[in-house]
Formats: sequence, structure tokens, C-alpha cells
Amino acid sequence: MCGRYRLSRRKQLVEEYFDTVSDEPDSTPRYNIAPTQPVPVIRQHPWEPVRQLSLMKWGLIPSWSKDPSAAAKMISARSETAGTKPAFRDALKSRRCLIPADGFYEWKRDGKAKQPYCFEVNEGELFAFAGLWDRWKSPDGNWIKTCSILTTTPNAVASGVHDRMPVILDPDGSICGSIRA
Amino acid sequence: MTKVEAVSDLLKPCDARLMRCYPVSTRINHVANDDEECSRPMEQARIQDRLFF
Repeated sequence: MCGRYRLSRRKQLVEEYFDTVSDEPDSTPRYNIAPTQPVPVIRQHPWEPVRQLSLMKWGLIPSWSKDPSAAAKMISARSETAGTKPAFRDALKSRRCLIPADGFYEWKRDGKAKQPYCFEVNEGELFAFAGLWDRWKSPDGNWIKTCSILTTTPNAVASGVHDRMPVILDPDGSICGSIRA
Repeated sequence: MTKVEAVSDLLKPCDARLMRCYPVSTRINHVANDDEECSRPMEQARIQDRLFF
């Protein structure tokens, strides 16, 4: 699912839309964000009523992981089973996040050919994937923050293309409560 | 209800009426391609050609 996505809005617009604060530098519009790249992630501050936007690497590395190469496979987490999988269980309880986007891509298999499709919400408006994050200490002592996108069953639009789709949170109200641990 | 259960209620497919999808060029397959062309709608005729041949 969703191995690529789009965030073509500038950082300032993303920050205004999601009411976040950030120390990260400005970013360029992105049309083809791929796994292992740094992506903007929004988290609820643990005790202040503030949402923070920061960059994390796409592909979750569990804190206890010995081998970070598995992260490339952890770009998504099935929401039906995340609560029982060691890699995602704790993150689902206490490390939820929003991953802002304004489009995502899925591939439809048609015989040998694979046709990519772009998906948009509200005609290309910003939205948020439901995500999980973790941090992993590399052998050289640096903390690496990583994230994963939660997936669910496809709706009527997505089911003709792929058997999974990312969880897209309602931008009208449920975001705040949903990321608070 | 625990917090995780409350969260699980949100982890549902988005309302299909809010979404749309359209075919795009296979340029998206290559990570190095990262520009507006990646999400430009592709003409239906071109897709059919590609699938036919």
C-alpha cells in the first residue's frame, strides 16, 4: 500500500492548516515522497496544548531493533493487527502521529502491467494519514526518529485499484484527540 | 473503553465521497522523478494503448 505520496503544499501552509509549531527548515513541494526519506510528521506535545511538526524517516524502526534494514518493510502498519504486533503495539498506545499529505499513489495490477493512480481527498486539499512513530538509537549513539502509515480496508474509490488504503483522518475534528496519547 | 480502543474507531476507511482517483504516468515509479508531472492525470486513451501492447 501507499508506497509513495505527495505533499506539494509549502511548509507554511501545512503549519497553518494543522496549527503546528516547528523548528524545521522550509521544505520544497514534493510529488513523489518515497520510503526511507525524511517526511514531516505532526505530534501532540506531551503536556502542552501544542502540535509539533518535525521530520522523521519513513519506515519504522522499533526502539529494540538490532537491524534497522527492516525499516523499509515497515512503511505501513495494518490497523487491524497493529495492536498485537511487537513492532507497532507500543506505538499504537503512546506514539501516534499525523503525517500530512495532499495525495497518494497506488498501483493497479493489470496482467503484467502496473498502472499507477493518484488519490486525492477533497479535490487535492491537505489531509493527514494516521501514523505511528518510534525512535531508535543507532550504534554511533544518534537517535533516529521513524514513522509508519496505518492502513485499512479500501473504500469504494480505492477498492478498484488496490486491496488496502491508508487511514485518512477526518480533518474537521477528530485529529486532536486521535493523536493525544 | 481504553484509549487504544477509542483510537481504533478512527482507523476506518475514509468516506469515499470525499475521495477521487485518476491514472497517472509511470514516471512516479522512479524516485528521482519528483515534480508536478507525477500527479498529472493521464489520458485514458494512452493507458489503453499501453495495456493493449
